[in-house]
Amino acid sequence: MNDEQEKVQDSHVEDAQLVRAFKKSHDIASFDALVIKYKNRVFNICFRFLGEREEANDCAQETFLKVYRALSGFREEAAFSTWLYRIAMNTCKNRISSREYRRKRMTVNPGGSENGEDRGFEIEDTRNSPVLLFERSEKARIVREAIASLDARHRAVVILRDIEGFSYEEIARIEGLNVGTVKSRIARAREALKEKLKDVI
Amino acid sequence: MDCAQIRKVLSEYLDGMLDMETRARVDQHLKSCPGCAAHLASLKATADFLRSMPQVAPTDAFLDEVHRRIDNAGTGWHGIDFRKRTAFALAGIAVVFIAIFTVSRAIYTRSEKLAMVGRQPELSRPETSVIGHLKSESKTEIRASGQKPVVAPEKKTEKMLTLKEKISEPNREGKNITEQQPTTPSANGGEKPGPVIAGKKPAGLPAKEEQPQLITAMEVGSKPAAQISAACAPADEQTAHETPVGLLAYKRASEVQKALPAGIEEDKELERIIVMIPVTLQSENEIRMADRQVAEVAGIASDAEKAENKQVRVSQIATEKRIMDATASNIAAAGGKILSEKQQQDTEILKAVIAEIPAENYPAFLKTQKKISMFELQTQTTRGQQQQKNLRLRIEFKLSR
Repeated sequence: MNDEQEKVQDSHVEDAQLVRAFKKSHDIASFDALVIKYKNRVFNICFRFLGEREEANDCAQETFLKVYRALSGFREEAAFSTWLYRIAMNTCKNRISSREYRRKRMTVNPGGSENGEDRGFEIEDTRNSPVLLFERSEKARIVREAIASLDARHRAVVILRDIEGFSYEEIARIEGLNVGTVKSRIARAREALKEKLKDVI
Repeated sequence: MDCAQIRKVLSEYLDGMLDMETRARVDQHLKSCPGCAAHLASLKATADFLRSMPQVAPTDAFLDEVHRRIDNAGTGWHGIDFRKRTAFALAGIAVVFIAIFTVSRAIYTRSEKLAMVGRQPELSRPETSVIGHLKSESKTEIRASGQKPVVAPEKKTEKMLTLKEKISEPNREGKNITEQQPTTPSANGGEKPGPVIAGKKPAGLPAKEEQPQLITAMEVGSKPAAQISAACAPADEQTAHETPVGLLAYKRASEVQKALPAGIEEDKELERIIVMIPVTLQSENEIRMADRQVAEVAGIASDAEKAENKQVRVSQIATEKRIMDATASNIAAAGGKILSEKQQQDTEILKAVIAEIPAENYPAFLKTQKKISMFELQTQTTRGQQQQKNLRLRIEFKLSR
């Protein structure tokens, strides 16, 4: 086992301890520790998936709410993180289908205003950091739109692979697919993004 | 492989997912095909670009917001169930209730018992010590109870054992707990039979109408009135013992009053005081210990029993200290700090530690702390805008089996 695998394994063991502590005695601190450990990653996935901070925040919170409710019955057949990301992904997918529905009905632009969507939210860096500047840049808008142009299935795999850096096997577990399907979806998603992003790359 | 076939697998090629043979073929093709090489470069640039996107973080109040939603959504069975269970667990784990009941003569008539039980105030107060605070508590309780016959239904749902103490006349020699009831399997669901405590029946019991009667503490919500009524009826004592739910000792009021600290106004109407210590008793040793402690509080313990009680307290304090030292070192090892320590009122026994440790170290802390097997760890987090990175823990101690 290499260092990276060992780290992942340790992380899984640690998660399992927290999960069991929660299941055994409803140790809220264990749940909190899991939230603190994964909130950034879950939020980031949601943000990339939905393209809006507010929606992402809402979706990430909803994910943890679902986790909280279901954790007692979590059978630990998969790693906690896999289960968590699956819930996050499904929550995002449900969200866009309902958003699209809403957009059709109300002709509201889900992208929102570029400046408005960041209002009231903090990110890790300070206001003038490159991160924030990037987020507000034209590039960011193009990336968001490019990702938003993908359907949910392709959006999910490319976010997990290229933005979050998950392995094909992990993506297959999260998405409940076989690795072959993951491969072909990633390939298609990249091809599509390549075309959309060629001006900014 | 032609260009179309090659381009289909370039994404996998990029991620090193191709088998050796296919990979070699792609390598070969790329060397001679600038179009496919450019395609690959463009795919790689796309993937690299996506990978370079900055990580964004949620608001600092994220955890609080999650909890707010949990609380707001707590109308489902999950929420209610959990909250109840938490409450019960905290109550059951950290707290031993001590209640003193005063019962007037009126309770001797069954009809009055039935009538009164339902409307009496609940007197039991949470208290963490087993026995040490009884006296300080008793003042309040006696005053609160006044001259009314009071039966406080016990809140805890866990099964408890009954211990019946029959006290003979006030000046009878050899004050002791003279009879303890055999009990049926209780909290442990019958894994082991309820301990049967050998006892001797006191010689020369008082005349029947003066005999203290057994009142068994009841589980709240389990028709306390009817059960207490049944338990109070001498004919039904056996039934009551078959569903032991409380550790019960009582004696004549005059004796208990003598044992109470000075300053408590004497209540002439006081017939008996019932000391009820709901506990989850598992072993005979624990039963005996509780028995001795009850005897001491009731003022009927022999010197030997008192000495044993003292010894238990001393060893309890030593154990607490050992646990506390280990906990402190665990907290320190996790990069945390102890904010305050709480001791049980009037004792040196540690009740709780409030500590703050970095959240990322919590799992490791939990692991080491759980090795302190004699005690259970209860943690609660205090969440605040500024405390996202630290978990504030309240670690409560309680003897566990």
